[in-house]
Amino acid sequence: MNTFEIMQQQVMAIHGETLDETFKEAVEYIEKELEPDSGKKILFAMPQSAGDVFLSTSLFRSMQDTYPEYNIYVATAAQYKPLLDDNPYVYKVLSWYDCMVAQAIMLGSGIWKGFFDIFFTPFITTQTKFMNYVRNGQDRIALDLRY
Amino acid sequence: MHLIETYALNCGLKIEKPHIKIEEIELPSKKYITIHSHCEKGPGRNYRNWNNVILELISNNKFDFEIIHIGGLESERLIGCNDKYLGKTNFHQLAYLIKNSELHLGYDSFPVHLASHFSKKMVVLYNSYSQHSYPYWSDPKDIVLLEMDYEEHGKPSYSYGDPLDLMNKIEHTTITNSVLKLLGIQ
Repeated sequence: MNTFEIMQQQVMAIHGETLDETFKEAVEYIEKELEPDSGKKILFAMPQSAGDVFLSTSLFRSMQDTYPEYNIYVATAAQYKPLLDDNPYVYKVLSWYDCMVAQAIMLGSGIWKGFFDIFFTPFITTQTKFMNYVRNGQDRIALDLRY
Repeated sequence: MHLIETYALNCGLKIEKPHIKIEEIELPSKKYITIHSHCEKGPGRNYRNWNNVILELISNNKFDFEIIHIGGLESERLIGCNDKYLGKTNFHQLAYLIKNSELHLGYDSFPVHLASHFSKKMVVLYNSYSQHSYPYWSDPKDIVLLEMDYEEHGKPSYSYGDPLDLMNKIEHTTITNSVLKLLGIQ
């Protein structure tokens, strides 16, 4: 049974329906890209856009220091991948597929072991219909977030 | 809360400086400022009085800078600007161009964050709360952020369209004077 078929079986067991075929291309792509890496893996997703991807690079040193035993992967749309060229903390840059947002696919569920150990999806708070970061510009932070 | 603070909190991480590869290109022969005028994603961030700003700048006899227009080829051409780099720089070359500029002028977008990374002086126009995307790594004395009073003029649309056209309520003379002041020109 290949990876997609394992996922199909898991989705069928949970939801009673088959996994959409659009997942197949993404699953095969990720599987191929991860093949040489048997270590622990983090996926940081920022599908768009240039400003957000660039801003995100400011988090990667902290990520590497916090998870030194993990390889850091970043997924973004093809046109923004060059923003991650020569980044010393990024192990590999992946092309973003919308179906990657499915946590169970990325992290595993049931008999499916998953692709990644940790999956960061901060864009969900700013780039989706579930946007929740806007507070009339009046919110404050009680923590020191600067490195 | 700034976007990067939202991301940092979501991931439980701290914020350092960003990183970008730099690729050298031929720079303008004299000192220059950069202007980013056109938002290809929608009209809400397109300011219609850039030509007035440029004319006011170049008509000031103490303003001795070339004005380099950056952005995509679809950008409306501006009087008095050097369009040589328009649509011709990749991210790495744009970083080099901005790194060597004297000031960046434009709307809330990627070049603003690049300019902040390189501690450049800048004047930025916003059509929603600047608190969410101000130049995070800049010294406050180096930046002027221009936006309307949202309580008085209406709340931001949080999209690339803006029925209230808030950005275009910013006076062009305010922009010009902000640029001149940051450049030390009275």
